[in-house]
Amino acid sequence: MDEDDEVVGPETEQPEAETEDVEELRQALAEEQEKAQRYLASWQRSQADLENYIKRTEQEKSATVEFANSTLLLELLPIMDDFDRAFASVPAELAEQHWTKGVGLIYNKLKAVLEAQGLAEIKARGEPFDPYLHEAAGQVDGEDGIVVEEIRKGYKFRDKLLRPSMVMVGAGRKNNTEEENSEER
Amino acid sequence: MAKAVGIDLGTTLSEVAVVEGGKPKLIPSSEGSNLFPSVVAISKNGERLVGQVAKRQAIVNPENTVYSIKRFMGRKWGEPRGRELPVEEDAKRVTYRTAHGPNNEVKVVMGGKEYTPPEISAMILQKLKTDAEAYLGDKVTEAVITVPAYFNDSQRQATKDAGVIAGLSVLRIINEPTAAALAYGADKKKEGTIAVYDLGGGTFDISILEIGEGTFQVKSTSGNTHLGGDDFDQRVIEWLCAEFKRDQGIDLMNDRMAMQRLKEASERAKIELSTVQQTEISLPFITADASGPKHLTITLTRSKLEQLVMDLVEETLQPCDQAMKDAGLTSGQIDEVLLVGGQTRMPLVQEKVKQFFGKEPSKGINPDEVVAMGAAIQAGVLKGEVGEILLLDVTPLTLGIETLGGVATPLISRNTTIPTSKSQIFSTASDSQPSVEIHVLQGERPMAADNRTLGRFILDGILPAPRGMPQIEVTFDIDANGILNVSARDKGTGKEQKITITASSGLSKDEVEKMRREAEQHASEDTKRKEEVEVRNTADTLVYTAEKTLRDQADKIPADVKQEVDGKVAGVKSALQGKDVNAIRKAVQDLSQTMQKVGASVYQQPGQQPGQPPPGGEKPGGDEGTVEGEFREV
Repeated sequence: MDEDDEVVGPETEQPEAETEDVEELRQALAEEQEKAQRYLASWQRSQADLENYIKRTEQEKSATVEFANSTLLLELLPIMDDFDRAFASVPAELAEQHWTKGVGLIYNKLKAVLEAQGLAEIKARGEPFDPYLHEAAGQVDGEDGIVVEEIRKGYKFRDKLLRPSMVMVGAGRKNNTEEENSEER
Repeated sequence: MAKAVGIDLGTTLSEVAVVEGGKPKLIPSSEGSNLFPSVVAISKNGERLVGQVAKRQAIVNPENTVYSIKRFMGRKWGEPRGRELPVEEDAKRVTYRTAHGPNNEVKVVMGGKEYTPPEISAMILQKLKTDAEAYLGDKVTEAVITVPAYFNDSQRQATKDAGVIAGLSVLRIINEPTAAALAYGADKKKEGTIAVYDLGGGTFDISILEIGEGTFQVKSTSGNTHLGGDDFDQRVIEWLCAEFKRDQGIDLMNDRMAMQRLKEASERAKIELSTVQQTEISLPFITADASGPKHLTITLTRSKLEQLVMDLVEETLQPCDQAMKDAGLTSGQIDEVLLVGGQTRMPLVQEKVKQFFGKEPSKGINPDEVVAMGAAIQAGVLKGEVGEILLLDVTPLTLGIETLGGVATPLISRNTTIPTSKSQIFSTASDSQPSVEIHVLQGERPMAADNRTLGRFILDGILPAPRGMPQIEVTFDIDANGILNVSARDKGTGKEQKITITASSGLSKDEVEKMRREAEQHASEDTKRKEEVEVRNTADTLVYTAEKTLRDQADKIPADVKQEVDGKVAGVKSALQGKDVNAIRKAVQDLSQTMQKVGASVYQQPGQQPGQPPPGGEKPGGDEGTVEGEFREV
């Protein structure tokens, strides 16, 4: 019906209607072009997101595989510490007993297994203090900037820091223990 | 394409997140941890250290290690007291030196040089930027940074300056509670009032926000700049020390090594008690005296912990009260309560918050990460990434077809993001089968009859062939509107049939839920029924194979073996008539064993070519990925 109406419309109006139509169409085209551009842009963005995501997932996957055991190892370290502490204070009368030595062998076996997996002790005592490997727990008498005492062993796992050594650092020969422990931490 | 990130620049910890695929994600630091201490230092040999590394050396280099710089951002000496402690007070609490700038602004001294707080913050931002770039594999040049709601203009400007110094174009500075609300999708609400309760490691903030047409307005804020999770840990440490002293008569307070272990164990116990009722704190060889080594083993219950920190939790309620008063609201007028900060994981905190606001607080987003996430969403919105992201639907239920024995074989499993398509090759179930019926199913049950039928159609004109030979490719394709197109194509003849199902997602939420529940309820009986069908299908295939072999290799099979096979085949057939699944299994086993004799006698025949295909109805398409499922005859 609409079309018929237009056809029977006055002839003089036709050019005007046409320009209007063209104008309308132009506008519609511009809108559609703009829309197409926007859609293309989002499409590209989504595609890029996906590709980057896949790339990173691959990287993460290989890292996960390589360091899959680090969470478990981290949980085991406090038990290693307990062993270390236990052996550091074996009473003299027990030290030479075969039973005590046997437990020592068990500990060594555990250590060997973990080392075979890539666990390595970090050197601390006597080394220059290095915040990339050591965590300072305080300062004591001793050579300036040198690790004087190891409070807790630090470990690397496959050359990556697993847990820093907790150490006391020398503050020079004189007794000058600055222990301004901030409450922030 | 360069990404804009969201940064939570915190007093003790900072975090950075990015929006990807329309969703925010936290970026891990290069050390592999999500925790990034807001600490900067100049080491004794002049090296600049940022983050974890700076924190590790803080105690031996206290004068040149700057932490909590956020407390000095944009502040001046002698300024009137606001929400924070006076600058003078905060300056007394840090181990590094502070100084006066030309305009009376606060400066800090590190490595013998004066720095403005924005310069220090910039070092933290720079490290976050570098780590984010390494993670994303792309340049990061733009960021949204969060600040506490109570920050004044000069503090906000200082934060912005820090971003610029770090080489970031700061798209916007937004309030931390607003970021949290964004992470919870609050901007999608038309209007409402939100309370954001933020109990972090060292600070407590409560903010009341009002949303209207996607914009946020901070109605009021209150809090305590020196109250947080660390205080909770301290309470546990003190209690442990007191208990140990009572038992063993030894004071651990002066033993630095013991204190370090107590600190770690206390935090761990506190965290564990958020999910369990009691935990064992076990620290062997904690110390020693003349009588030998001493061990600390104490059980801490959740109720004891709650008793230890009750006053700290209650201390947070007074600011809540204040904020409500300032906003002119009563608790009934709060529409939503959001929890931010790790300490809000504690059930006691959640309980008290619930009591105060008379409303269950919203959970679900990691309270440590929610601010950075929200900042990332804001960055995404400003960059037009979030707005333009299509919200993609998922199929609520599994879609598949019926195969031999009335089994529902899934093609697209539930929760698959659409649009998607999947093809699988099926075959016929009997010799010279002229057509297959494609019965399209929706639902989680393993048997076709228990699922919803979406439609069915027949593909005919399949050329006469032994069963399993024709390859029928069935394709399911769902478009973004959930319209499902199913087509079946005979790969041999190219003949194709298809159906379009528009109502595939026409189920209401309740219906979907009901179907899912039913599937769970019937899981065990369904499995049994499916197993039965599978046994029957195996039996059927074996009978077919046996009969075919007898036919094909008739001249090579001795009469007695043939007779035995015939007998066993009859046995399977009669078992298939009955309902006893175990009888079918047994008959199938017997027949298989007898069939081995057939194999043996065929191979023993002289002149048998090596490498010839084994006798029996091997599926010809097997190596091309033909699937076991076969259509039943129509």
